[in-house]
Amino acid sequence: MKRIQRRGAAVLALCLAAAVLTGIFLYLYVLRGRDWVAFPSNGDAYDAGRLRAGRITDRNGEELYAVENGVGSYRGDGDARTALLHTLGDREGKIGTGAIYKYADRILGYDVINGLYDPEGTGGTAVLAADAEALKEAHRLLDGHAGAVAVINYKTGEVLCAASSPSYDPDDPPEIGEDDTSGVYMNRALSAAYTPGSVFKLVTLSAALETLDDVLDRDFHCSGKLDVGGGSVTCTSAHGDMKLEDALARSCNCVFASLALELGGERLREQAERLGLLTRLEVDGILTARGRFDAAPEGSLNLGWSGAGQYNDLVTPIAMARLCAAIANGGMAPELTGLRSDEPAKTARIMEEDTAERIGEMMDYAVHLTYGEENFPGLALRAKSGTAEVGSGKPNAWFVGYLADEEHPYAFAVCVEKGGSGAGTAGPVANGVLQVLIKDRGK
Amino acid sequence: MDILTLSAVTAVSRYVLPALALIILIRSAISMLSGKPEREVWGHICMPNGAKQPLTNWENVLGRSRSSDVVLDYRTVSRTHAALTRDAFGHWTVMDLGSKTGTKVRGHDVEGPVPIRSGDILTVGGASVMFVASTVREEEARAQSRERPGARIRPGVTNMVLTIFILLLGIQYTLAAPEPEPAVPAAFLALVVLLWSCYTITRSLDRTGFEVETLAFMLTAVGFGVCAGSAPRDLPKELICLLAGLALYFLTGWCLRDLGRVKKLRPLMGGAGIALLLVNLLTASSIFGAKNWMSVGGVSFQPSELVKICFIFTGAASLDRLYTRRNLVGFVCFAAACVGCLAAMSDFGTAAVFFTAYIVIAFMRSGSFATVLLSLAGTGFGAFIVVTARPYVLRRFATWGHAWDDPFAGGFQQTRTMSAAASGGLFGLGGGKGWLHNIFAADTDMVFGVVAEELGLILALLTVATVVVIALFAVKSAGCARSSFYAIAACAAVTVMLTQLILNVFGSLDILPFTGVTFPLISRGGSSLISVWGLLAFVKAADCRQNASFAIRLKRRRERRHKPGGEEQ
Repeated sequence: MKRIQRRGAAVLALCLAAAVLTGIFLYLYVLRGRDWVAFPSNGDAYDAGRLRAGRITDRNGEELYAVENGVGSYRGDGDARTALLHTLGDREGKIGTGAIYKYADRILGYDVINGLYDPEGTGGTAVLAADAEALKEAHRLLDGHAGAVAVINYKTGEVLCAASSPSYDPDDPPEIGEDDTSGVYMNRALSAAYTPGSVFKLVTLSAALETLDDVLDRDFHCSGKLDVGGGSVTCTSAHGDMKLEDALARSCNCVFASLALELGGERLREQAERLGLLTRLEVDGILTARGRFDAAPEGSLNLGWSGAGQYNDLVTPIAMARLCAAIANGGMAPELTGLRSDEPAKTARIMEEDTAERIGEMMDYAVHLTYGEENFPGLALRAKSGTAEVGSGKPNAWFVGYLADEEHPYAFAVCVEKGGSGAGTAGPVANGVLQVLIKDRGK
Repeated sequence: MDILTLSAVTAVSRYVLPALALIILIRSAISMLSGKPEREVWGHICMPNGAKQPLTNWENVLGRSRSSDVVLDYRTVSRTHAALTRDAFGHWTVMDLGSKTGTKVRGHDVEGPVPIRSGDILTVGGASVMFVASTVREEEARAQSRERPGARIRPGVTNMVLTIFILLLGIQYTLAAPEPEPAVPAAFLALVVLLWSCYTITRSLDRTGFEVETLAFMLTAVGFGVCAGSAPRDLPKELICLLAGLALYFLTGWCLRDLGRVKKLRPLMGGAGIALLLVNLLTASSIFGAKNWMSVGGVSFQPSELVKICFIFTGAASLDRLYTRRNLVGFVCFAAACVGCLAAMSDFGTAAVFFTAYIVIAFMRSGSFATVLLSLAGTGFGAFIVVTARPYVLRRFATWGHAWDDPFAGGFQQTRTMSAAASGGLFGLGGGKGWLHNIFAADTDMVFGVVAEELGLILALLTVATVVVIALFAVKSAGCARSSFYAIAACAAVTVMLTQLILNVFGSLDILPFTGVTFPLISRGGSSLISVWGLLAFVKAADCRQNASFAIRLKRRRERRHKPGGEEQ
């Protein structure tokens, strides 16, 4: 009898199971509650697919979007609405990376204690990292060209600007067919992978600095053309004798192709991977597009070109901006967020500190020698341009870099599709947006 | 009407309801679980060395094994040698449990049950001991000195708190109804009346243990809230079923008072269980996959719910039956038939519930992990065959853990349950103000989400804790139950409740596969409500605290005069 009575303890196993499962649930509840709430079929959050309440402001408190009586409205004039469309998202949910969808939990005012309890029906406020004025300026400067502007704060990881063109006014949407190929619903700053051209030389450069001990002391020579594998890598002109820093400042294809040939395709691919260009980056749970780098065979023409950002190379503007952020940060890449944050971001080392410092100096020199400090008044700019050949038509214009400025720790990447010269077309866009950002508007 | 009033009530009730539930649960849990149980003493064995060993059960095993109730550490004594059992009227019998060296009473060999009287010499494998039954006077004196439940934590006070809880819940749901629905306040008021009626009945029987009932009424009240939010017109039906459940509760409890009656009822209950399932299987109508519904005279119910009672009746056994093989074989066949019928109805949730109850019963009866492992393995094969044969079951398993990958088909219910639960936060959006209850079957299969959404996660977790507390109480009670029948039955009953709870809650949250079983007392549905109240009677029958449970007979004058226990001859 005693034995049978004691065996009742078998029931305790079930009690324990209930306790463990409850623990698992609570863990998930705290970890994922936000995502569960934001589920579009959640009737507490949405009414027929529309958010029930709440508002979105930019980092300076400017209201961008508000839900009143169950109806959401975009603030500002047509240009402002067009400029902010990809940041906020459209009404139909086709731009899923928009804040309306991504930060629904914050817009609704969710918190883990009170859930969506909201007796006043006012919802909450999602305060974005984005700067509305910078987005408007980016849009104005892109001037209808397809392209993207990504600016991040390399200390906090905030995405200050992720502008994408073409765009449209969500209150006056044009006819967009099912078979539309313009990619208007895509935020190009996050989701478009472009041929990088010369901005990829930052990758080749970092690999060379970390692999070839004597590379800084070497003397390079450019005759305007480097014969390799039955073809040739060409420069626009013969750059003559130079050191590595001049090769970057003058964007010498021959030097970087020869470095690529020396490093090998596998080494370059590995470097691009480590620098975060080939993986999908995460911005508050939204994954960006991934870039591409194919390791071409040893000694081939393609390997040479791949070191100069041609061949099959592809990168996203946001990943390039993050790479520049890491250069600015002594090799540490910040974790990105679309929400305003005053805290230093979590960081991950993607580059040696020395390497980052050397590259920073060379980008400084490039501005001094090639891009002209006078073109960027008041900006402690360090940059690299790129003019990426994309088959027929004008090349894509790139301009990437950062401000060596504790007050304004911004890293950026601008890409204008078929924009022509990198420094000539993308440079002014970067300048305009950065000028808006450094202007003291009393945050 | 009264949008403002509703907001004000919600603003208060979302904090007050969990607080009241917590008070009720803590008061009950302390009363049920604190302290060591005071054992009853029914007699003594005087050992050859003069020591006296108390007999603390109606069923006592004598043997060399250390887990025997009376340990006789002699080499000639078998590990499990003989059983000494008492019936409800104080008659003692002894039987040999297949020992090698035999058992003698007053010098005569014992095989089957043989009566034994106080003062008789019992020879167990050569060792002679004297059996002394407690006298009526000793028993009375002991009863007087044992503490009665409710002395420190008064059940009346807990019930007052519960009354406030029910009324506040009633006000909340009455105001939240989109159209005025008199059934809502009426049902909650009726619940209060029933609570106090049951309490009055219990007190009039001079019983003071009411914690199980209090907790059950609390869960039932939450269930009424869920029903008021999703289908207020069904509340009268729910109330009728509660009445039926209470009737079953008292009837089962009364049956369980007399072990002799229980023994006679067992084969009957087994037969009734199988018959119910067979009739169900033959006439069943399929509602959403599972053919477990039966309609009689316009009222549809799930017979499998009532079979749970039969299952426990059949599975639990008193000590004298535990040692006969025929009995065990009978139970295994019965269990297999039950699970087979349920599988044939595609009611895999309920089959799983029966199966865990079977495991616990088998373990308690045999104490052998090997038996349990073997039956688990056997079931594994069976389940494999069933699952491969029925694609819809397989699909459910495929969705398990991946609800968010498929939120519009396989993960439909789970994703919505999680969303709603998170929306409610810790304190809920307010009774009746949720959205999940609009989804089909939310008030049964996804009820944890409904409660968490409307009344808050804290209250939802407290309902889970309530069932766990009842289970712990059953385990504690089983430790000093008079007969192994009561110990096994109480543990099996809470196993059924716990398994349902675990499958219901964690299935709807995608932590376990989703099977449509009910949350005890909270899920809407009459058959389930009735059966769980019936199951609670088994827990009451194991509660041997002094004057605690109506399901345990107190000695009456008449009995004392006519049925003397022990030495009054």
